[in-house]
Amino acid sequence: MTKAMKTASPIVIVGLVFLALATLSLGTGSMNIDPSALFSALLGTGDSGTSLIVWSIRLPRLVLAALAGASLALAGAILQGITRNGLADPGILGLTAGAGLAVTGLIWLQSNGIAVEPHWRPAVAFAGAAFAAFITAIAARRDGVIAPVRLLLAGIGMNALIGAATLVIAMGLDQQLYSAAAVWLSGSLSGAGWSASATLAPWLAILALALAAQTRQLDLLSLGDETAAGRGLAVDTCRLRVAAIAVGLAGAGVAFSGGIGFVGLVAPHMARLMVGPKHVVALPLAALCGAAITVAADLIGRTAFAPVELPAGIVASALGAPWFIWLMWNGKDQKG
Amino acid sequence: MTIEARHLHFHYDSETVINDLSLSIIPGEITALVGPNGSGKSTLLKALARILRPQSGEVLLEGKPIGSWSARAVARKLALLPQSPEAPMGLSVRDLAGYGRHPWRRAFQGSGPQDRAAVDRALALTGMTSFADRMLGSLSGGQRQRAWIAMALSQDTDVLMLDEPTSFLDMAHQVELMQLVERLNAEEGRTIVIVLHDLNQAARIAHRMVVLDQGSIAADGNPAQVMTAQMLRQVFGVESDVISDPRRGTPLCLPYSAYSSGPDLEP
Amino acid sequence: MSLVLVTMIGICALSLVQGAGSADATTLLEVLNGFDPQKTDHLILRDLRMPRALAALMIGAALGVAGALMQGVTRNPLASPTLMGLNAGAGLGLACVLVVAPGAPFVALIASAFLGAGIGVGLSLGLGLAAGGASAPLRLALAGAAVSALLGAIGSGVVIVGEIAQDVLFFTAGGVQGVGWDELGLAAPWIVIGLLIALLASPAVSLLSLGEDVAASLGARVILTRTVAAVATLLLAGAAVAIAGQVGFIGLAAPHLARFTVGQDYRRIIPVAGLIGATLLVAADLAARTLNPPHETPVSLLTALIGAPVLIWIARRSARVL
Repeated sequence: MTKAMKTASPIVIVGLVFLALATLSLGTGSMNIDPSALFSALLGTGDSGTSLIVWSIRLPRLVLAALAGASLALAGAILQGITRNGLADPGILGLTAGAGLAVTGLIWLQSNGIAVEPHWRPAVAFAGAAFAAFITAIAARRDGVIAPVRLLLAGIGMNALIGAATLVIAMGLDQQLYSAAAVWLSGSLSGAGWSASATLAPWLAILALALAAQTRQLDLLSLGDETAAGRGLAVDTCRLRVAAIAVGLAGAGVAFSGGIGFVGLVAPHMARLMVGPKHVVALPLAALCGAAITVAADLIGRTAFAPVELPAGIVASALGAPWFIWLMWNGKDQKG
Repeated sequence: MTIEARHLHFHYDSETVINDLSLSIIPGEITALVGPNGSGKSTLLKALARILRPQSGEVLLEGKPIGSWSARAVARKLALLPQSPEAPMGLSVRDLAGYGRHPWRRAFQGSGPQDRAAVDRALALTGMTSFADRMLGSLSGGQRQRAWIAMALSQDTDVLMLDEPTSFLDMAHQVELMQLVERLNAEEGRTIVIVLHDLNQAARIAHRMVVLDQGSIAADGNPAQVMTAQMLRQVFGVESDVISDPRRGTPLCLPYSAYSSGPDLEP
Repeated sequence: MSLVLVTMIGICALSLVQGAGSADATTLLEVLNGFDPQKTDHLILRDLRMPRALAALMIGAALGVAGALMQGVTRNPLASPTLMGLNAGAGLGLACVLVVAPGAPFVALIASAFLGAGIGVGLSLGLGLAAGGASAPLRLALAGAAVSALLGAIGSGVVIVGEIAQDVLFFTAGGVQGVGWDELGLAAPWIVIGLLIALLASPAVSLLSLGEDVAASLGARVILTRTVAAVATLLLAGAAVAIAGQVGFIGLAAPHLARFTVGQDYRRIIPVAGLIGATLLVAADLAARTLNPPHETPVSLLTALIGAPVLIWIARRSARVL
């Protein structure tokens, strides 16, 4: 097998898995649609009822799941790279909680008559995530160094604090908005329309492009600060730059889907297991894995206990936490 | 006060650590256990102190199986200091030394005059009196190691077992510690069993050297008998000259070449 | 130590005389001198505030002591009920019982919370200690986070599928607002037994904090001590979480604050952590009632406000040990 094939084949395989999951997801629900009907509906030649379900309910939800999953996966991959710790994840570092707090605040403003256009939501979520990241970094910083261990611990503390604050804001909401906020916080894609994806997609595109320019720097950073500096990399500014991208991605991912836990942790690991640590191939594959996981989690969440719908975030945590535990058990986190 | 091991056998999973080993510690002597990494020194020491239970064979303390003694009764007879112990850094030296009195105190009994006297003596012997109220975290490595030894000394036992007490110490602290060990043996008549990495250190202070290799005793005797070029080649995989220490006359080994593929060498 | 005691008694008294309604300091004295069932403020004091203050006192003490035991036995500054998956486990146990047997008696709820808490803590400790070997606080914290996430996710799933969100709200918000004499009577014996065991075990825990080998060579019975401490921890933390829901971080913060005041010896840390835990929770409960009357601020928020900075402080301070 040539080297190109070695990297290409996992991408093809995961891509096929993603397409299969997507087809399954589009076809399954309160009304099942068989593949041929689904296909003609997608092409616009099916009957109008099926087309309506596919185009205005299931497809937007699928696209949003894929975009959010990809964002979180990329954010996780970056964070694992710059902390040199395989257990880093936007959820554990408090980014998800920060974004959640900001968006809950937005809902609260709305309930008090100050409406904010929904396409500002990623920006607000970004601000929340950035705020949480900033505080976490300050808390973890000592003698000018942010040690990965301290970062993870400070993140756990931050999570608790922000989680409690979010709870308080949420309890100040009226009953209806409260349950909406609660469902959103646990990571739900329910009721997603095209507008969410339309807002998220450009954000993701811009940040992914910015990230693409940084893959070699990320490779260097993963070798350790001294080695990277010795290869002529301005370590601190570079880390700050990619960290900002990670915060943006996490914020964007959380903005419309809520905190879907463990996608950012698991997806990068899957990618590295398949293609190794080089970011130029691992990052796109991680994004694809993240998309596939989120779509799968959403599919399970809305079908397993139908008509009751489980938020995708809960399914993802239930599936992702054992993986995390397995990683710890095997000591793969010992790096760095 | 006799300690005797009979046909000890230990294995972790499938790996044999101690293989049919018998050894009797002679009271009043300094016995040094030496051997390459993984030869079973620490395991043997812990078995002698009742901390590990062998899979087969037995350890006799004063002729009785050590397992039939209570942990507390054993702790009044022998004190073991494990390798690089770690204590809460906020503990004071005196507090740590005071823990050595545990086996002599009943539950909820405060420390009596006897306990305080033992602690003071242990601190004086180790030269830690002036550091008694310092926190462990504020001490250097050598001072911290002496504080630990003070704990083992305040336990007031006939037998003292030390597992590589000199690792991570600089040269002056190592020499100081070896002098302390010799003094405890010579002046107080304590039996000492010590695991040492440095063969020359062991040869300098020990009455008897026991060389372990792959869980068995490869050589046993006084340093002059044990420390031979042949033993060093067989057990440690090094070619060396053995000369006489100009000051003490004890053997001194000077390795000059190693079998890089030797079975006992670290990779 | 006497300072801690005085603070605790002061806050308890304050907690009894503050709050919605008219009962004040003179009422307290009146009730203590002779209770009059005809007077509303006497009733408020006896049937609402007293059990509540007592519950806060006992639960705070239980959590503080449980945390101190865990930290001593594992030699890990981050070991504590909150971080070890106890809350998530208890929540899962509670949710399961509420779904399977709605209207189950209170005893069943306590038992299920106990069981869940035990599973959560057992998993976290097992994972964090067995896999990692000695002194890996980070590992323990991460294991706890993962187990919490797992049990929490399953618990939320059960809550959503079983449609019992309203019934578990008391647990999610945490606090002692609903606690009357009856609930207190059910939990108190367990807590008292747990506290007694903890006090009896404290000399042995003190030795264990020096490390397993050293403790054994000083004549401590390591496995026995561990087992006893684990049982006491479970009794204390399980009873606390069953009554008061998710009150986080007291078990983490109290032992560290105790160490500040009395040093590193667990013979002193354990009782003082209990006193400090009790003080913290009574204070948090008082604040919960009085910050925004007549609404109750969730106690879990207030304890997180105390606990999270402590956690971050540990993270900053002990990076070398970690």
